[in-house]
Amino acid sequence: MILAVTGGKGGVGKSTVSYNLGMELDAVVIDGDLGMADLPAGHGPDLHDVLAGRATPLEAVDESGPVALLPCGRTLAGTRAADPTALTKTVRTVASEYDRVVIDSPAGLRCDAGLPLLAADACLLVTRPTKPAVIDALRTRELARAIGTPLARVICNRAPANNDNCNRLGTTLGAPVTTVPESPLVARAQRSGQPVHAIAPDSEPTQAFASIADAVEQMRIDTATVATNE
Amino acid sequence: MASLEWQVQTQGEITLVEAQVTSAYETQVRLESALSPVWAPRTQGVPVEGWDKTGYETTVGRNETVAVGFASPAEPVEPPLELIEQEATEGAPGDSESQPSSRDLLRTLGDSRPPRDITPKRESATQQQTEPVERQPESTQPPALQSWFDAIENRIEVAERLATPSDATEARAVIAEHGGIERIQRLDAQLAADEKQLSALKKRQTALLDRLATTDIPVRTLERLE
Repeated sequence: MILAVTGGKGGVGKSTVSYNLGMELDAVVIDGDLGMADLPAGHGPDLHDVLAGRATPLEAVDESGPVALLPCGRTLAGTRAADPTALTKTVRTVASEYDRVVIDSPAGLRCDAGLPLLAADACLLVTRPTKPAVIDALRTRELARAIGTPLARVICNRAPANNDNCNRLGTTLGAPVTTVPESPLVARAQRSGQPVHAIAPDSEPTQAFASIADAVEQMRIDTATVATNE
Repeated sequence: MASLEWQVQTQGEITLVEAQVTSAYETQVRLESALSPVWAPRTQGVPVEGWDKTGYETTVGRNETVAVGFASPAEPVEPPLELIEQEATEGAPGDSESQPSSRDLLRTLGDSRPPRDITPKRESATQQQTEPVERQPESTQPPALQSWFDAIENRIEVAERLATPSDATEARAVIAEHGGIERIQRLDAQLAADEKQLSALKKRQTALLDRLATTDIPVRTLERLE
Protein backbone atom coordinates (compact mmCIF):
# COMPACT_ATOMS: atom_id res chain seq x y z
CA MET A 1 0.00 0.00 0.00
CA ILE A 2 1.42 3.34 -1.07
CA LEU A 3 -0.18 6.51 0.26
CA ALA A 4 0.65 10.06 -0.78
CA VAL A 5 0.02 12.72 1.86
CA THR A 6 -0.60 15.90 -0.06
CA GLY A 7 -2.43 19.19 0.32
CA GLY A 8 -1.26 21.97 -1.99
CA LYS A 9 -0.57 24.61 0.63
CA GLY A 10 2.62 24.70 2.67
CA GLY A 11 2.49 24.62 6.45
CA VAL A 12 -0.82 22.75 6.81
CA GLY A 13 0.87 19.77 8.48
CA LYS A 14 1.59 17.30 5.68
CA SER A 15 4.90 16.22 7.21
CA THR A 16 3.41 15.91 10.71
CA VAL A 17 0.52 13.81 9.40
CA SER A 18 2.89 11.66 7.29
CA TYR A 19 5.21 10.97 10.20
CA ASN A 20 2.44 10.14 12.67
CA LEU A 21 0.58 8.04 10.12
CA GLY A 22 3.81 6.19 9.41
CA MET A 23 3.89 5.31 13.12
CA GLU A 24 0.26 4.12 13.21
CA LEU A 25 0.55 2.10 9.99
CA ASP A 26 4.05 0.79 10.70
CA ALA A 27 5.02 2.16 7.31
CA VAL A 28 8.18 3.64 5.80
CA VAL A 29 7.77 7.41 5.43
CA ILE A 30 9.47 8.82 2.34
CA ASP A 31 10.27 12.53 2.57
CA GLY A 32 9.25 13.47 -0.97
CA ASP A 33 9.83 17.20 -0.54
CA LEU A 34 12.87 17.29 -2.81
CA GLY A 35 13.44 21.03 -2.50
CA MET A 36 12.51 21.80 1.09
CA ALA A 37 12.57 18.67 3.21
CA ASP A 38 11.06 18.84 6.72
CA LEU A 39 11.35 15.38 8.22
CA PRO A 40 14.48 14.50 10.23
CA ALA A 41 17.62 13.98 8.12
CA GLY A 42 19.79 10.95 8.75
CA HIS A 43 23.51 10.50 8.29
CA GLY A 44 23.32 7.91 5.54
CA PRO A 45 22.27 8.15 1.90
CA ASP A 46 19.05 10.07 1.24
CA LEU A 47 16.39 10.41 -1.46
CA HIS A 48 18.57 12.81 -3.48
CA ASP A 49 21.24 10.11 -3.65
CA VAL A 50 18.68 7.50 -4.69
CA LEU A 51 17.13 9.69 -7.40
CA ALA A 52 20.60 10.56 -8.72
CA GLY A 53 21.52 6.86 -8.90
CA ARG A 54 24.15 7.03 -6.15
CA ALA A 55 22.32 4.76 -3.69
CA THR A 56 19.66 2.07 -3.83
CA PRO A 57 16.21 2.84 -2.34
CA LEU A 58 16.53 0.17 0.34
CA GLU A 59 19.92 1.24 1.66
CA ALA A 60 18.56 4.76 2.11
CA VAL A 61 15.77 3.62 4.46
CA ASP A 62 16.74 4.56 8.01
CA GLU A 63 15.20 2.23 10.58
CA SER A 64 17.01 3.66 13.60
CA GLY A 65 14.24 6.06 14.67
CA PRO A 66 10.74 5.39 16.01
CA VAL A 67 9.41 5.51 12.41
CA ALA A 68 11.29 3.99 9.44
CA LEU A 69 12.22 6.93 7.23
CA LEU A 70 13.70 7.52 3.81
CA PRO A 71 14.99 11.05 4.44
CA CYS A 72 15.62 13.71 1.83
CA GLY A 73 18.76 15.79 1.31
CA ARG A 74 18.85 19.53 1.96
CA THR A 75 21.24 20.88 -0.66
CA LEU A 76 20.44 22.77 -3.84
CA ALA A 77 23.03 20.74 -5.72
CA GLY A 78 21.35 17.54 -4.49
CA THR A 79 17.93 18.77 -5.61
CA ARG A 80 19.35 19.68 -9.00
CA ALA A 81 21.07 16.33 -9.48
CA ALA A 82 18.03 14.24 -8.46
CA ASP A 83 15.87 12.93 -11.30
CA PRO A 84 12.27 13.40 -10.07
CA THR A 85 10.90 10.87 -12.57
CA ALA A 86 12.81 8.11 -10.76
CA LEU A 87 10.50 8.54 -7.75
CA THR A 88 7.85 6.07 -8.92
CA LYS A 89 10.34 3.23 -9.26
CA THR A 90 11.98 4.13 -5.94
CA VAL A 91 8.66 4.10 -4.09
CA ARG A 92 7.68 0.75 -5.62
CA THR A 93 10.99 -0.79 -4.62
CA VAL A 94 10.52 0.35 -1.02
CA ALA A 95 6.90 -0.91 -1.04
CA SER A 96 7.98 -4.32 -2.36
CA GLU A 97 10.21 -4.74 0.70
CA TYR A 98 8.30 -2.92 3.45
CA ASP A 99 4.73 -3.27 2.06
CA ARG A 100 3.48 0.02 3.50
CA VAL A 101 4.78 3.36 2.32
CA VAL A 102 3.66 6.91 3.13
CA ILE A 103 5.02 9.66 0.87
CA ASP A 104 5.22 13.15 2.34
CA SER A 105 4.54 15.35 -0.71
CA PRO A 106 5.72 18.93 -1.19
CA ALA A 107 3.43 21.94 -1.49
CA GLY A 108 2.49 23.34 -4.88
CA LEU A 109 1.32 21.82 -8.14
CA ARG A 110 4.53 21.18 -10.01
CA CYS A 111 5.87 17.79 -10.98
CA ASP A 112 7.35 17.11 -7.53
CA ALA A 113 3.79 17.32 -6.13
CA GLY A 114 2.32 15.28 -9.00
CA LEU A 115 4.82 12.41 -9.00
CA PRO A 116 4.00 11.14 -5.46
CA LEU A 117 0.35 11.02 -6.56
CA LEU A 118 1.33 9.00 -9.61
CA ALA A 119 3.34 6.60 -7.48
CA ALA A 120 0.60 6.14 -4.84
CA ASP A 121 -2.41 3.80 -4.66
CA ALA A 122 -4.39 6.51 -2.90
CA CYS A 123 -3.88 9.95 -1.41
CA LEU A 124 -4.74 11.79 1.78
CA LEU A 125 -5.46 15.48 1.52
CA VAL A 126 -4.30 17.56 4.47
CA THR A 127 -5.84 20.99 4.93
CA ARG A 128 -6.75 23.50 7.60
CA PRO A 129 -10.14 25.13 8.19
CA THR A 130 -8.99 28.33 6.46
CA LYS A 131 -9.91 29.67 3.03
CA PRO A 132 -6.41 29.69 1.45
CA ALA A 133 -5.75 26.13 2.64
CA VAL A 134 -9.08 24.85 1.29
CA ILE A 135 -8.57 26.56 -2.09
CA ASP A 136 -5.17 24.86 -2.46
CA ALA A 137 -6.66 21.55 -1.32
CA LEU A 138 -9.26 21.85 -4.08
CA ARG A 139 -6.54 22.40 -6.68
CA THR A 140 -4.64 19.38 -5.42
CA ARG A 141 -7.87 17.34 -5.49
CA GLU A 142 -8.20 18.23 -9.18
CA LEU A 143 -4.58 17.23 -9.80
CA ALA A 144 -5.15 13.86 -8.11
CA ARG A 145 -8.28 13.37 -10.21
CA ALA A 146 -6.40 14.17 -13.43
CA ILE A 147 -3.64 11.73 -12.52
CA GLY A 148 -6.20 9.11 -11.52
CA THR A 149 -5.25 8.71 -7.85
CA PRO A 150 -8.23 8.05 -5.57
CA LEU A 151 -8.68 10.30 -2.54
CA ALA A 152 -8.87 8.13 0.59
CA ARG A 153 -9.54 10.78 3.17
CA VAL A 154 -9.44 14.46 3.97
CA ILE A 155 -7.57 15.47 7.12
CA CYS A 156 -8.66 18.75 8.66
CA ASN A 157 -5.59 19.56 10.71
CA ARG A 158 -5.30 21.68 13.85
CA ALA A 159 -9.02 22.30 13.93
CA PRO A 160 -11.42 22.97 16.81
CA ALA A 161 -13.83 20.09 17.59
CA ASN A 162 -17.06 20.03 15.52
CA ASN A 163 -15.83 22.80 13.28
CA ASP A 164 -18.43 23.53 10.59
CA ASN A 165 -15.79 24.29 7.96
CA CYS A 166 -14.19 20.88 8.55
CA ASN A 167 -17.55 19.12 8.30
CA ARG A 168 -18.34 20.84 5.00
CA LEU A 169 -14.96 19.84 3.52
CA GLY A 170 -16.18 16.29 3.02
CA THR A 171 -18.86 17.43 0.57
CA THR A 172 -16.55 19.92 -1.14
CA LEU A 173 -13.68 17.51 -1.67
CA GLY A 174 -15.65 14.31 -2.00
CA ALA A 175 -14.15 12.13 0.74
CA PRO A 176 -14.73 11.44 4.45
CA VAL A 177 -13.05 13.88 6.84
CA THR A 178 -11.01 13.20 9.97
CA THR A 179 -10.28 16.13 12.24
CA VAL A 180 -6.95 16.29 14.06
CA PRO A 181 -7.34 18.70 16.98
CA GLU A 182 -4.93 21.55 17.69
CA SER A 183 -2.60 20.33 20.44
CA PRO A 184 0.75 21.42 21.88
CA LEU A 185 1.58 17.72 22.25
CA VAL A 186 1.91 17.28 18.49
CA ALA A 187 4.23 20.26 18.18
CA ARG A 188 6.32 19.07 21.14
CA ALA A 189 6.61 15.56 19.71
CA GLN A 190 7.57 16.91 16.28
CA ARG A 191 10.28 19.13 17.80
CA SER A 192 11.90 16.14 19.45
CA GLY A 193 11.65 14.03 16.28
CA GLN A 194 9.01 11.71 17.77
CA PRO A 195 5.52 10.76 16.69
CA VAL A 196 2.89 11.98 19.16
CA HIS A 197 2.09 8.33 19.96
CA ALA A 198 5.53 8.02 21.59
CA ILE A 199 5.01 10.83 24.09
CA ALA A 200 1.20 10.71 24.62
CA PRO A 201 -0.29 7.39 23.49
CA ASP A 202 -3.78 8.15 24.83
CA SER A 203 -4.04 11.74 23.66
CA GLU A 204 -6.70 13.01 21.27
CA PRO A 205 -4.27 13.61 18.38
CA THR A 206 -2.90 10.06 18.72
CA GLN A 207 -6.48 8.72 18.53
CA ALA A 208 -7.14 10.86 15.47
CA PHE A 209 -4.05 9.51 13.67
CA ALA A 210 -5.00 5.96 14.69
CA SER A 211 -8.51 6.44 13.26
CA ILE A 212 -7.03 7.69 9.96
CA ALA A 213 -4.82 4.58 9.87
CA ASP A 214 -7.87 2.35 10.51
CA ALA A 215 -9.82 4.06 7.75
CA VAL A 216 -6.91 3.62 5.36
CA GLU A 217 -6.61 -0.06 6.23
CA GLN A 218 -10.25 -0.38 5.23
CA MET A 219 -9.52 1.53 2.04
CA ARG A 220 -6.69 -0.87 1.35
CA ILE A 221 -9.18 -3.75 1.16
CA ASP A 222 -11.27 -1.70 -1.25
CA THR A 223 -8.30 -0.90 -3.45
CA ALA A 224 -7.29 -4.56 -3.53
CA THR A 225 -10.85 -5.60 -4.50
CA VAL A 226 -10.96 -3.08 -7.34
CA ALA A 227 -7.59 -4.26 -8.59
CA THR A 228 -8.75 -7.92 -8.58
CA ASN A 229 -11.97 -7.08 -10.41
CA GLU A 230 -10.05 -5.32 -13.13
CA MET B 1 -1.93 10.20 -48.91
CA ALA B 2 0.25 12.28 -46.60
CA SER B 3 3.14 14.20 -48.12
CA LEU B 4 6.43 15.29 -46.63
CA GLU B 5 8.57 18.36 -47.29
CA TRP B 6 11.86 19.06 -45.60
CA GLN B 7 14.73 21.49 -45.25
CA VAL B 8 18.17 20.61 -43.93
CA GLN B 9 20.60 23.21 -42.61
CA THR B 10 23.92 22.95 -40.89
CA GLN B 11 24.95 25.20 -38.05
CA GLY B 12 28.54 24.60 -37.06
CA GLU B 13 28.74 20.86 -36.50
CA ILE B 14 25.00 20.51 -35.91
CA THR B 15 22.49 19.48 -38.56
CA LEU B 16 19.04 21.07 -38.25
CA VAL B 17 16.09 19.38 -39.93
CA GLU B 18 12.68 21.00 -40.48
CA ALA B 19 9.78 19.05 -41.94
CA GLN B 20 6.13 19.59 -42.78
CA VAL B 21 3.67 16.74 -43.14
CA THR B 22 0.42 17.50 -44.97
CA SER B 23 -2.49 15.15 -45.41
CA ALA B 24 -5.83 15.26 -47.19
CA TYR B 25 -7.39 12.98 -44.57
CA GLU B 26 -6.78 12.24 -40.90
CA THR B 27 -3.88 9.84 -40.57
CA GLN B 28 -1.30 8.63 -38.13
CA VAL B 29 2.24 9.09 -39.32
CA ARG B 30 5.72 8.23 -38.19
CA LEU B 31 8.78 10.21 -39.28
CA GLU B 32 11.82 7.98 -39.10
CA SER B 33 15.08 9.90 -38.98
CA ALA B 34 17.99 8.98 -41.23
CA LEU B 35 20.27 10.88 -38.87
CA SER B 36 21.37 9.41 -35.60
CA PRO B 37 21.29 10.37 -32.77
CA VAL B 38 18.12 12.45 -32.85
CA TRP B 39 18.13 15.50 -30.59
CA ALA B 40 14.39 15.96 -30.12
CA PRO B 41 12.80 19.26 -29.10
CA ARG B 42 12.30 19.39 -25.35
CA THR B 43 9.82 20.88 -22.91
CA GLN B 44 10.98 21.25 -19.30
CA GLY B 45 14.01 19.19 -20.24
CA VAL B 46 11.95 16.20 -21.43
CA PRO B 47 11.50 15.27 -25.13
CA VAL B 48 8.20 16.60 -26.49
CA GLU B 49 5.46 13.97 -26.61
CA GLY B 50 5.68 11.78 -29.70
CA TRP B 51 9.47 11.84 -29.99
CA ASP B 52 11.61 8.81 -29.35
CA LYS B 53 15.23 7.88 -30.07
CA THR B 54 14.76 7.46 -33.80
CA GLY B 55 11.87 9.68 -34.81
CA TYR B 56 8.49 11.22 -34.22
CA GLU B 57 4.93 9.94 -34.24
CA THR B 58 1.84 12.08 -34.53
CA THR B 59 -1.65 12.31 -35.98
CA VAL B 60 -2.19 14.69 -38.88
CA GLY B 61 -5.75 16.02 -39.20
CA ARG B 62 -7.69 16.31 -42.47
CA ASN B 63 -6.20 19.07 -44.70
CA GLU B 64 -3.79 19.98 -41.93
CA THR B 65 -0.06 20.51 -41.88
CA VAL B 66 2.12 19.45 -38.98
CA ALA B 67 5.53 21.10 -38.75
CA VAL B 68 8.35 19.52 -36.77
CA GLY B 69 12.05 20.07 -36.34
CA PHE B 70 14.98 18.39 -34.66
CA ALA B 71 18.74 18.58 -34.50
CA SER B 72 21.48 16.01 -34.79
CA PRO B 73 25.26 16.03 -34.57
CA ALA B 74 25.37 13.64 -37.57
CA GLU B 75 26.33 14.68 -41.11
CA PRO B 76 23.35 15.91 -43.19
CA VAL B 77 21.76 13.35 -45.52
CA GLU B 78 18.97 13.63 -48.09
CA PRO B 79 16.24 12.74 -47.39
CA PRO B 80 16.68 13.28 -43.64
CA LEU B 81 13.34 11.68 -42.80
CA GLU B 82 11.21 8.83 -44.03
CA LEU B 83 7.43 9.21 -43.82
CA ILE B 84 5.61 6.08 -42.73
CA GLU B 85 1.82 6.12 -42.64
CA GLN B 86 0.29 3.95 -39.98
CA GLU B 87 -3.17 2.50 -39.73
CA ALA B 88 -5.20 4.26 -37.07
CA THR B 89 -5.70 2.01 -34.08
CA GLU B 90 -7.77 2.51 -30.98
CA GLY B 91 -5.87 3.15 -27.79
CA ALA B 92 -2.94 4.56 -29.71
CA PRO B 93 -0.22 6.44 -27.81
CA GLY B 94 -1.45 9.82 -26.66
CA ASP B 95 -4.87 8.60 -25.59
CA SER B 96 -5.85 10.64 -22.58
CA GLU B 97 -7.70 7.77 -20.90
CA SER B 98 -4.65 5.92 -19.58
CA GLN B 99 -2.67 7.04 -16.53
CA PRO B 100 0.10 9.48 -17.44
CA SER B 101 3.75 8.53 -17.14
CA SER B 102 6.28 10.29 -14.90
CA ARG B 103 7.64 12.04 -17.97
CA ASP B 104 4.16 13.21 -19.01
CA LEU B 105 3.75 14.76 -15.57
CA LEU B 106 7.13 16.46 -15.72
CA ARG B 107 6.28 17.83 -19.16
CA THR B 108 2.86 19.11 -18.11
CA LEU B 109 3.45 20.30 -14.56
CA GLY B 110 6.96 21.60 -15.04
CA ASP B 111 10.32 20.77 -13.52
CA SER B 112 10.53 21.71 -9.86
CA ARG B 113 14.30 21.55 -9.65
CA PRO B 114 16.30 24.75 -9.18
CA PRO B 115 17.97 26.03 -12.37
CA ARG B 116 21.48 24.74 -13.03
CA ASP B 117 23.00 28.26 -12.85
CA ILE B 118 22.29 28.78 -9.15
CA THR B 119 23.61 25.41 -8.06
CA PRO B 120 26.70 26.06 -5.92
CA LYS B 121 29.87 24.79 -7.52
CA ARG B 122 32.35 22.34 -6.00
CA GLU B 123 30.20 21.73 -2.94
CA SER B 124 28.52 18.46 -3.58
CA ALA B 125 30.08 15.09 -3.98
CA THR B 126 28.39 14.73 -7.39
CA GLN B 127 30.09 17.73 -8.84
CA GLN B 128 33.47 16.67 -7.61
CA GLN B 129 32.96 13.29 -9.19
CA THR B 130 31.85 14.74 -12.51
CA GLU B 131 34.80 17.16 -12.70
CA PRO B 132 36.68 16.35 -15.95
CA VAL B 133 39.62 14.06 -15.26
CA GLU B 134 41.99 15.89 -17.61
CA ARG B 135 41.91 18.94 -15.34
CA GLN B 136 43.80 17.17 -12.61
CA PRO B 137 47.30 17.30 -14.14
CA GLU B 138 47.05 21.10 -14.14
CA SER B 139 47.87 21.12 -10.47
CA THR B 140 51.40 19.93 -11.34
CA GLN B 141 52.03 23.10 -13.37
CA PRO B 142 53.80 26.07 -11.79
CA PRO B 143 51.13 28.41 -10.31
CA ALA B 144 52.05 31.35 -12.58
CA LEU B 145 51.76 29.19 -15.69
CA GLN B 146 48.49 27.71 -14.47
CA SER B 147 46.83 31.09 -13.93
CA TRP B 148 48.09 32.23 -17.35
CA PHE B 149 46.56 29.11 -18.96
CA ASP B 150 43.32 29.69 -17.02
CA ALA B 151 43.12 33.27 -18.28
CA ILE B 152 43.62 32.13 -21.88
CA GLU B 153 41.03 29.40 -21.42
CA ASN B 154 38.50 31.94 -20.15
CA ARG B 155 39.16 34.22 -23.14
CA ILE B 156 38.72 31.27 -25.54
CA GLU B 157 35.42 30.36 -23.87
CA VAL B 158 34.13 33.91 -24.37
CA ALA B 159 35.32 33.82 -27.99
CA GLU B 160 33.53 30.50 -28.56
CA ARG B 161 30.31 31.97 -27.25
CA LEU B 162 30.76 34.94 -29.58
CA ALA B 163 31.28 32.65 -32.55
CA THR B 164 27.90 30.92 -32.37
CA PRO B 165 25.10 33.54 -32.92
CA SER B 166 22.76 32.42 -35.71
CA ASP B 167 21.33 35.78 -36.80
CA ALA B 168 21.85 39.53 -36.56
CA THR B 169 19.52 40.01 -33.55
CA GLU B 170 21.32 37.37 -31.55
CA ALA B 171 24.70 38.79 -32.58
CA ARG B 172 23.68 42.26 -31.38
CA ALA B 173 22.56 40.79 -28.06
CA VAL B 174 25.90 39.00 -27.70
CA ILE B 175 27.83 42.23 -28.44
CA ALA B 176 25.81 44.14 -25.82
CA GLU B 177 26.33 41.35 -23.32
CA HIS B 178 30.12 41.54 -23.73
CA GLY B 179 30.40 45.30 -23.24
CA GLY B 180 30.42 46.65 -26.79
CA ILE B 181 32.39 46.13 -29.95
CA GLU B 182 35.57 47.83 -28.61
CA ARG B 183 35.96 45.25 -25.87
CA ILE B 184 35.41 42.46 -28.39
CA GLN B 185 38.08 44.00 -30.66
CA ARG B 186 40.48 44.13 -27.72
CA LEU B 187 39.67 40.48 -26.94
CA ASP B 188 40.40 39.56 -30.54
CA ALA B 189 43.80 41.30 -30.41
CA GLN B 190 44.57 39.63 -27.08
CA LEU B 191 43.67 36.22 -28.52
CA ALA B 192 46.04 36.81 -31.46
CA ALA B 193 48.80 37.64 -28.96
CA ASP B 194 47.86 34.55 -26.93
CA GLU B 195 48.21 32.42 -30.03
CA LYS B 196 51.71 33.81 -30.74
CA GLN B 197 52.81 33.30 -27.15
CA LEU B 198 51.41 29.77 -27.07
CA SER B 199 53.22 28.75 -30.26
CA ALA B 200 56.44 30.34 -29.00
CA LEU B 201 55.96 28.38 -25.79
CA LYS B 202 55.40 25.22 -27.78
CA LYS B 203 58.67 25.72 -29.70
CA ARG B 204 60.56 26.41 -26.50
CA GLN B 205 58.93 23.42 -24.83
CA THR B 206 59.86 21.09 -27.73
CA ALA B 207 63.45 22.38 -27.75
CA LEU B 208 63.75 21.93 -23.98
CA LEU B 209 62.29 18.43 -24.12
CA ASP B 210 64.76 17.47 -26.89
CA ARG B 211 67.69 18.80 -24.87
CA LEU B 212 66.39 17.07 -21.76
CA ALA B 213 66.19 13.75 -23.61
CA THR B 214 69.86 13.95 -24.61
CA THR B 215 71.16 15.24 -21.29
CA ASP B 216 72.11 12.86 -18.53
CA ILE B 217 73.94 13.84 -15.33
CA PRO B 218 76.59 11.22 -14.51
CA VAL B 219 75.55 11.27 -10.82
CA ARG B 220 77.33 8.06 -9.87
CA THR B 221 80.63 9.12 -11.49
CA LEU B 222 80.44 12.49 -9.75
CA GLU B 223 79.68 10.78 -6.42
CA ARG B 224 82.78 8.65 -6.76
CA LEU B 225 84.95 11.68 -7.59
CA GLU B 226 83.86 13.61 -4.53
